[in-house]
Amino acid sequence: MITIKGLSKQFGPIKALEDINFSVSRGEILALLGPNGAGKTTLIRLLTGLLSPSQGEIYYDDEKLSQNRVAILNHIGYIPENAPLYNDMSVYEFLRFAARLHKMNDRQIAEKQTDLVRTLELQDVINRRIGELSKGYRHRVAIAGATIHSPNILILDEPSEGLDPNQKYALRQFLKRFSTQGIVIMSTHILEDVEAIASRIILLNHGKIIEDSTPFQLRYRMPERDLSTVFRRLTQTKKQ
Amino acid sequence: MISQLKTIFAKEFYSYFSNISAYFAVGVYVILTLASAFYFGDFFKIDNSNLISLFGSQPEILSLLIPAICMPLWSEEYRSGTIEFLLTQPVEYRVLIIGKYLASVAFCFIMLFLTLPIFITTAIYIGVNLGTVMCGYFGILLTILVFAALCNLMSLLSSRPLIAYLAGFLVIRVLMSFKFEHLSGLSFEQNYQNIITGRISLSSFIYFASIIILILWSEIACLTSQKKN
Repeated sequence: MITIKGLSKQFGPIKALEDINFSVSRGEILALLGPNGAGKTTLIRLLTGLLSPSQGEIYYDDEKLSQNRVAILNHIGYIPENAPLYNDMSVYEFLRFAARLHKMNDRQIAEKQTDLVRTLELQDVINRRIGELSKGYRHRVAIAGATIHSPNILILDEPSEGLDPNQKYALRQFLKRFSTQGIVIMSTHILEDVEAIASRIILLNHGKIIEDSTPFQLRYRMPERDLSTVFRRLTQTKKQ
Repeated sequence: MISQLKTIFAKEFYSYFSNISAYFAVGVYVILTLASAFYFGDFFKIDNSNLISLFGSQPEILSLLIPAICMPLWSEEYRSGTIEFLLTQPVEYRVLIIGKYLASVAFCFIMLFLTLPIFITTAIYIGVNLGTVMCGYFGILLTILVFAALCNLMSLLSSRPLIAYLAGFLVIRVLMSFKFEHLSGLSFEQNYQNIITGRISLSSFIYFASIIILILWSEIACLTSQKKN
């Protein structure tokens, strides 16, 4: 379980996030939704320990992220926006590198690598350089790298950006499967993704949570019963 | 921790050999070393039993090349975005910093290894003062350790490899040009000359070791403070 208490982040005079409070439990797929500049990526970076908060604390179960960064990161898989990877490495080398950083031994690496390569259909590119791969393959390699250590929390920043419909479908299926045993947190502004897989939505605007509910509840709040209309109304109303 | 250190070291060290620019740097090093020793260093005109023609110009040559070797270590991670991957792995910052630092140092040591034919040839045909030559090599090793630490720090502070190179070159030149009238113990030039001429003292060793530790500690502080910004 992830608990966020009184989280704020300030960059100089700019308040990127203000008094964020929520918790996420196993089995949930949480979508962080909001317009550009709402604070989604900042929140993701705080959750992964890339940034430290100006105020507040993030707890993974009962452990503080600020005090146990390394131990907690052992349980997290993170895929940043655009899935940056080492272009000079082959897929095989990259997966081994990621596994080694999680202190996995050769037997564990071989087992998990075989499993992931089969699940994510990477057999054809396993010895190819990452720099030569298409965006779809790169994305799958990033997922493999982020999950090779069998994390129970997966955090993704704009995961379906630039993927074609087939790749988006495959990603959603993967996330649904993952969420049966863990927590998925993804930041997105693609409402199609949210409707397809999210079990919960946190809507951010100007660094504050303006909604925390399920897609179903949110959709039925407005007479149009359309998530994009709700999104537009809520973010624009709060802005005014 | 050691296994993670080895992993970071191996990744950085082998990445040098997948990159043509690293081979280019080695080629330039060999050419500059040969030119400075035999052409500018009057190798055959002066007594070279202590290989002074080789060691005398090494800081100048290394000040040009070590920034090029170290510049991609961090700045390339920032430029390509892989820094987010790296910093979200369960690895202590000091392990990342030391792993990358040792990889750059190891690559420089390989470059230095290429000067051995000069030493062997001189030993066979002219004869060398082995003790002084060992001191010379020790001086270059310490120089590499200091310069690589400085350039790693500059790479960490810049997301552009070219800026990292220029900043690395600049800080090395500033360090080399420091001269204190009453505090010669703080002069790089003075300490380097002492070592390569066989006058190894504890104060010189402390001078180099303290610079290296201070810079590596600064790198950890920089990486930690970036989380706040």
